[in-house]
Amino acid sequence: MPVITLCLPSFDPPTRYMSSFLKRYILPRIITDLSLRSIALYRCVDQRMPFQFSTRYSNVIIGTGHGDNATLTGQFMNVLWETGNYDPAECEGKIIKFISCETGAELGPDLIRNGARAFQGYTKIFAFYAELNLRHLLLPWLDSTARKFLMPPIESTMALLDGKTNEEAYDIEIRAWQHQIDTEDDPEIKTILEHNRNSLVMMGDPDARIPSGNAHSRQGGCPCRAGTR
Amino acid sequence: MSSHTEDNKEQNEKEGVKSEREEKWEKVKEKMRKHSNPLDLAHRSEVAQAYKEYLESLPSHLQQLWLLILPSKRTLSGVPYVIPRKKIPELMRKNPEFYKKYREMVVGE
Repeated sequence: MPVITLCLPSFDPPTRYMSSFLKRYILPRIITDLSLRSIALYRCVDQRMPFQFSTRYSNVIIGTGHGDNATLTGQFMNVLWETGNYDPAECEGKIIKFISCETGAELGPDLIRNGARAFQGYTKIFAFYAELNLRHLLLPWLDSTARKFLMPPIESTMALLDGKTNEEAYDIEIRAWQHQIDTEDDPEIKTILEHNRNSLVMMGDPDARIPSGNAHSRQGGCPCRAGTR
Repeated sequence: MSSHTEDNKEQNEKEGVKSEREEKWEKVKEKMRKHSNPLDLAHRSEVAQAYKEYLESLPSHLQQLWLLILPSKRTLSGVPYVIPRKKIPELMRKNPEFYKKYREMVVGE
């Protein structure tokens, strides 16, 4: 039975937004699927130890948080994974997806070199616009501007959980970004959407998929397209 | 008939606003492409001014948005992770590091 680690730091608006989207769309999908098991790391990801322990026993690692080319950080920006500074058993044979800045530049290739089966992440700054009022801070997934940016990675994560391959999930995300770009009126927002799309990378085995995690595989992927509620 | 004409007029006005906005954004991008040195205050100010003009062409609800980013401390020291869109011109002018990263997002280099 596939075990999934979800890394969900939430201590400032960017991490709160991204974690909330994962909690809203990905966590229920895992919890309600009897063929999947999850270890969700919420605010405890302020130290490396729980993360390290959890990754060893997982097949899939889905993480958000602040990052740079060599590190992924958790709660309060404590380093969880750093290029060249971890045990390869933490990543060997695993499917990894990070929604964070720049981790696709160095950390992703390093994880693949150390045995990760597949990796998806972003090589540059991951940026998004949001309305950021009190209502949306409490319920970020209702922020229609943020949805344009945060639903494409949710769609590809959902696709992975539905048993799609690394490459198929990547294509789904690229198409989701493109849909947002094509329907956007604000030229600056369009440019930032293009920037995020262009910095998405997929590495490792293109045919990697979550093993038998698709016992009741859904047709059509994520039911919640960006821009809708 | 008259309602059809009014619809057309409204449509043309919308198109006009859209193209004006696109023109202003192209101007921002053009200046950014030209000014690659983030340490040059005069260049940053020129881009910031162009961005301000672009911002003013947007309806007020779009001016109220916030830019959120997910870098670590190592990537962007001294740059906030939550930036009101209205403050972007000021930040461009004052902060070469922000200018450099924002330019990277916009012109891809």
